[in-house]
Amino acid sequence: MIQMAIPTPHAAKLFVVEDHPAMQRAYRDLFNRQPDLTVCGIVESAELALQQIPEIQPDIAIIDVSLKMMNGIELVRQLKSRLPELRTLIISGHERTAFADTAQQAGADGYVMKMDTRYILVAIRQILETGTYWSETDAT
Amino acid sequence: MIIQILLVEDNEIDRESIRRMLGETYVVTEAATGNEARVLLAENKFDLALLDYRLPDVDGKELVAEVLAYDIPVIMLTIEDSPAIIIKTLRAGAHDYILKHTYSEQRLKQSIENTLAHRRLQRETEAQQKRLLAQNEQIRQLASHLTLAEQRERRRIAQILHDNVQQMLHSVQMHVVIMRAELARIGVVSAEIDGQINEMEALLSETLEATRSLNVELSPPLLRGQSLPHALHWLASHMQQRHRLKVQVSIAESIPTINEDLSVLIFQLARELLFNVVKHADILEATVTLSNKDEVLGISVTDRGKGFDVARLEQLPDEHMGLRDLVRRVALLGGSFEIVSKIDEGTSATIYIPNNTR
Repeated sequence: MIQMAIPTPHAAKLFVVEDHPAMQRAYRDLFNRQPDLTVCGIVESAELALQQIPEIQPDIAIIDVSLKMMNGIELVRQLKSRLPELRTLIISGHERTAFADTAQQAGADGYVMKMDTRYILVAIRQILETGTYWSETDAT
Repeated sequence: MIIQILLVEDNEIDRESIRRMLGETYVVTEAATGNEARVLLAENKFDLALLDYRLPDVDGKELVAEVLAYDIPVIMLTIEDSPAIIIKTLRAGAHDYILKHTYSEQRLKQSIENTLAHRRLQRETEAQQKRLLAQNEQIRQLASHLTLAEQRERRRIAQILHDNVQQMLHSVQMHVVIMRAELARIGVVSAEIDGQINEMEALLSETLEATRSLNVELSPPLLRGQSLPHALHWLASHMQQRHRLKVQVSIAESIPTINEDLSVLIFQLARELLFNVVKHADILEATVTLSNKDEVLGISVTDRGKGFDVARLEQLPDEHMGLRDLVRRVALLGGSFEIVSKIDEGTSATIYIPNNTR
């Protein structure tokens, strides 16, 4: 078992929208180990996210781009229109630039590739501190 | 089987003698004039007509045409022996022409049997032809279903790869990151462990890359619910990144809704044609155009590269098999392929597909 770090009182609240159970567990393990971050909710669909986020009021929503029914980018659009203060980070398992532009147009504060595991934490912290994070979009 | 014969003959004696010759073998219905024949033709079904050419009320030529129009085979039995008339009548479609002063019972019966046999063969051939046409249509439909089913299957596999296999690999990647951090936190420092973790991470990245390119190969990464124009724009940026090919996308305003199967096929065609530009045109610019005219979609890729001799298209080497397969699939869906190319002036390839594929 992973030993949990005890979140500091001012730890940022993360809300995760991801439909794969293994990814949900991995996110929870990764984020809850960080003293400055805490997971306040994980849901599998955009519908549940729209229900719960206004109540829970997280600092940032971490959203997978490919969700069933409503995709991650549409979810960002709807969240931003209801909660302009909420920070959002899109995580994409697709090719690098595939959805970066549309994510930005929808109002996302950041975009990071799923495969760049270490940069997910970098992206979250950078968005919380300075506002935005955009994954390197040149081809590797 | 009872054979019904219409006998048109104005000479009563001749009529009488022919009836006696044929009456035992066939059912013979007699008409003494053209007009009588017309009434009988309208009311009965005949297997064959024996016609005199010289009738008091109707021109022989006319009556032959009328009988043939009922799809009844005609044998002439007449004293009219002008070679010009004989030739004309046979050309008009009469099966045989027998002169009264030379004929015998045997000759007449032989002619009737030949004509009937000929007609039976003709009917059989027509039926066979109809069956063949129907079978061809069936094969075309089956092949079309097959190609669409194959696409659906590719999409299904790509979906599983993306939705499940890749997600689990990403999860493992994250657990490796967590493990490394945890080992550092509790003070386990070992070059061996470090090396092992590095190896795991490298293998995971490689596996992910392999599934990702397999995914792109199997089925273009269209985000669910995105339209074909969107996918073509994505393709343009993908070609620029991967192959440094600058692609301009031009989409007609009148593009209707296109179902997913067809969207995927058009996307693959555009991709294959752009690959050809990369491989053969010796230029790094191309234009993709999606057009729509009378329910027919056109996808064309144009470049100003080095071009080639279109006459040699048939002998293309195997590296063009991808395109050839796609063109075959287009043909099965009722589409067509057009290529215009001139050496040193570029190439323009266009594929037309009717937008009615279920």
